[in-house]
Amino acid sequence: MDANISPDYKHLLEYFHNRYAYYEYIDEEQLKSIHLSPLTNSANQISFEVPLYGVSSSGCFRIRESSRELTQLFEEATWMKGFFDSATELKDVKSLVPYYKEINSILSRKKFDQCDLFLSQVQTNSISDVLLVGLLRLTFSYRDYLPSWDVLLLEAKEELLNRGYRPEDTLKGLL
Amino acid sequence: MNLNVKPIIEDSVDQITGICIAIARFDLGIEQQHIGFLYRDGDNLTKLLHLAWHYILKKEDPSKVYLWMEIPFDELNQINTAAFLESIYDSNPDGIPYGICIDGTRFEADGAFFFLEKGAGLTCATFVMQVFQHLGYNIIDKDCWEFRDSDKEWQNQIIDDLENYGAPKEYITYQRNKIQGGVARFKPEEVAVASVLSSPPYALKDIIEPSQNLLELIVAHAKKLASEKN
Repeated sequence: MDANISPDYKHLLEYFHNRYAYYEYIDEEQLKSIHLSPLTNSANQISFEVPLYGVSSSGCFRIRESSRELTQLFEEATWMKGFFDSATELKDVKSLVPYYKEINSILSRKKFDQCDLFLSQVQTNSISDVLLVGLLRLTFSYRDYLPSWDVLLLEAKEELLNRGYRPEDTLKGLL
Repeated sequence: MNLNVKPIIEDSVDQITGICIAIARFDLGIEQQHIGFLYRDGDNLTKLLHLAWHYILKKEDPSKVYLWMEIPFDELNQINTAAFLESIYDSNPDGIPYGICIDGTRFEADGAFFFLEKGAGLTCATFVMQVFQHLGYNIIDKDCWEFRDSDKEWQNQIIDDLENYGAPKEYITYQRNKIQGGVARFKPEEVAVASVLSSPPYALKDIIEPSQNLLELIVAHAKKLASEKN
């Protein structure tokens, strides 16, 4: 690894080297050319902008971590790219319904692992206020099958607080 | 308790920005109310979504027969509930069965109605309850809901109506068997009150008085409309 790179970048290179699934798809040169923007969200988790296998460089989107399963999920559920790309802008009924239908479709097909993986990738600092509540309510009835639901609830609660809401009111019935 | 009940007139419908409960009595001679959701749909139009009858789920322009009350949701929950109502309407093109027993019913993730028991169904009021339930917002404490003798009389009438309407024999038999075991009734005015007060879930005893107050307003509104018609 280049000894002159910044500590943040070095950390990221080490991260990807340690992730077998991504190392399989992205070589070191590609990795160096990626626009990496480490972000620290309210839960102190680092996230990166990463291009997925088979997706052009313009198709970068922010995800929390990478894995073979995640890559597969994004290939199967192509709507997710649009979701994460526009997650900060989804704030009215018309723009939400198409994505809610996709999430509902995964659940009604009992693909709980997929839905859980999706929820685990949601960064509460990168989605709209409406989604902070909506994703939890939409999946509430299936929370027993979604281990990431409780994690998302805690993170959403903190994020809502940061954004000036009262989580005890906004998340009423979920807490 | 101030319920802040408003009649549906052109100006008042324009005030609706989120999710509301609409309730009406259609026939002054019949002690029966009807309830549904009033909300802004994806095209930003105010619509009424309600379970009108057996497999008749309607999304339509609200009529002035209804009174409406705001559900105390913040903007985030208003938008999310409206999106869920849209998905319910889209996912149930053939409607939802009308039945007296809410047990064993729920909405699937995609908003499609699902019944664990073959004869289960919803009334206009339990339809409203199940929508809230699906979203994790429980308005009625079913464990503290008392069965009233008068419930059975209403339920028998409904089942007779379903039978005359042509509901399948096995569906009718299921409903009648359920009544024998005792099934609690959730009246539209009770569900309406539980929807708009600020600290749900409510037991029956907590909302009897405001429900009665609301009922008086509904009847007065129906009388007013009837007198205008004459």
